[in-house]
Amino acid sequence: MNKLNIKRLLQPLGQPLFAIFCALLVGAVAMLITGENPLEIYAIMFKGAFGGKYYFLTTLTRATPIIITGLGAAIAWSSSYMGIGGEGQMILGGFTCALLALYMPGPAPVKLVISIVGALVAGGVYSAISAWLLDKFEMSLAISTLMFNYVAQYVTMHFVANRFLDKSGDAKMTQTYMIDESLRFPQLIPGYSVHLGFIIAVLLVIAVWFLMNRTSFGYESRMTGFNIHFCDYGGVSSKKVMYGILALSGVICAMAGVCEVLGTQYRYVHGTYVNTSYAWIGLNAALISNYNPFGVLITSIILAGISTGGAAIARSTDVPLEISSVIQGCITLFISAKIVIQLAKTKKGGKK
Amino acid sequence: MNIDANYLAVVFNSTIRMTTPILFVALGSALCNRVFIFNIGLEGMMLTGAFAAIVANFYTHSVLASIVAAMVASMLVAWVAGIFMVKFKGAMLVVGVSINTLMGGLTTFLMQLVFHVQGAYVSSDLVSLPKINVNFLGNSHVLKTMFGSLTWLDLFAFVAAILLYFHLFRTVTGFRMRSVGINKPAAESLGIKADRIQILTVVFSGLLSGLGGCLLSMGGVTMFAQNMTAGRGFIAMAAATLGAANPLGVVVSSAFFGFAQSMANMLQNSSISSQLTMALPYFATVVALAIFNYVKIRNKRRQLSA
Repeated sequence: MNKLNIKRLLQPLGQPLFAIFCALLVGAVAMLITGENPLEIYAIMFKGAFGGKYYFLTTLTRATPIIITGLGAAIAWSSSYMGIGGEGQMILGGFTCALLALYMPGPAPVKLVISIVGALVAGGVYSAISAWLLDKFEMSLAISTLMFNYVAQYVTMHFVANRFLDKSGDAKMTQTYMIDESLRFPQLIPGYSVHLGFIIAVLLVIAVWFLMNRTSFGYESRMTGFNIHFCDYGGVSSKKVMYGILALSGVICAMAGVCEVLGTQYRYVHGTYVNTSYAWIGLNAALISNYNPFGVLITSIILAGISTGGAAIARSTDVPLEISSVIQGCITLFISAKIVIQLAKTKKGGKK
Repeated sequence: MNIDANYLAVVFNSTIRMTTPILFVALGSALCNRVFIFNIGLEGMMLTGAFAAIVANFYTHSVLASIVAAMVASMLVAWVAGIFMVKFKGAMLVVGVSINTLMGGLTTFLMQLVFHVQGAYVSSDLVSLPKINVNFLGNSHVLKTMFGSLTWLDLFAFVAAILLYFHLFRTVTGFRMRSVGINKPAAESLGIKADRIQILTVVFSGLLSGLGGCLLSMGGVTMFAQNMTAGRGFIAMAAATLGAANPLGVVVSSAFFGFAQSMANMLQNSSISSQLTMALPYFATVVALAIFNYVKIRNKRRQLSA
């Protein structure tokens, strides 16, 4: 009995572990090309990601936006609404939050609440536009969200560059002024970059898990993902569920932008969310963990570790930083083949 | 800014040059749509082509070798994608996203390894695609501007569209491809090797995006920059949808996006904010798709009520 339970618990881990192993193998080949010893490089990478308090906490800071965008993606994708708009939603969230925090009058607590709520609303409404296009114009969610990523990126850049540009410091970056210190998220451990946003991310993991598994909304949204006709037949309005899910996913991704603005950069800097591809890594985390919120938490930390570890090896060896994207791309690629392995298993069972 | 014949000729010319890279990829996407494959990995394949072309260019200084390298490299990537999508039954969006992440990383990784630079590689040693000589057009300055500084590959994009149109609608293999897209089990029951057709189509779409990428990195300023495709692969997918996956329709929709991009470039010299004009092609894509789908839905409703 006990053995069976352990087996059942471990089974969902088998595939991701296999995929990660294969991806590390591909990464090792790439490192061999650069003429380095893969084992040494991986050791440096691991140390740079998880070895020691400083590196581990840096990884957690980096994981924060990845976890949150991962949750946003998981909610939508698990209901078969495969939007890829996390990046745009995050940009809009961060941008709105920074502007409200900078230019709203009033006492600090009120300002803080308004800038967060405003950012979340912006992200939700922005994401709902894609839902509306899907509903009224049957437009592919993948295409509309992709296009909006670029629209959001350039339109916010326009406003930052031409209206709200910080002209005080080194003028090379397209960024807003710094927000007031009273509005910033506190650091969890003084001197280390990890901030309140990480706690928010963990709370969101629990909230999303609860929403998807313990509420009727979660049940309905899973049903739409399972079979939309059955869902309508059963008296659930699939349209309402669609708007709800996509708006919620936009709100969550906007929160990632809020955490970046209030927690790490204290301002909106154009291009940072795109260059770090947080939302894409978040989507990868959601895919790897099969949309399970707790899985998203763990995979995000691993993926963030691969990124910070990648930065560590780029600092100390000749291996370029992009090795982390290569490994990540391979992990999701190998994960995508999961159905086959399951099929192979059932075939084996049949023969017995 | 005064608008005269010469100005329009410049717009026309830059529209063509913006259109053709997208057109190649959009043709690939259209073929994929026809065999029921939603190939979002075209962005990564296009990037692969752009990169491979410059690498071959760097080592051989031969235009032909560059083009071949672009095609072969993109086909290899497409083959991997096709195997994962069709044989391993991976979700198409997941495979596509992975391919884009992987190739985005790998091209930058290799760029630093091969050229020892970060961000972008540009060198006067690289050869560009040969331009079509427009002297046969006579003395008309406007005509020369309209068709000047185009490469043979630009021209070939349009030829490819016509060839693919005939292939899809006038040949047996084209018919088989379409039948796989309409109903895969039914096609298989007629003895069509649907899996093979799907994989080969993805591989062929890789070849086309390789050409698109090559045109991008060697058509104008010959260079490679990190993520230089900048969503063109995604725009091409939109163009394929907008052109109803018909190669000739795709020419028109690609030209529309080419026009939007060339307007974005032209308007950069005007008083309108350059950031807003850069958002224009992407926004135009959504609007054009909305109008296109609206008309389609309305026609469908009319047919139903009639």
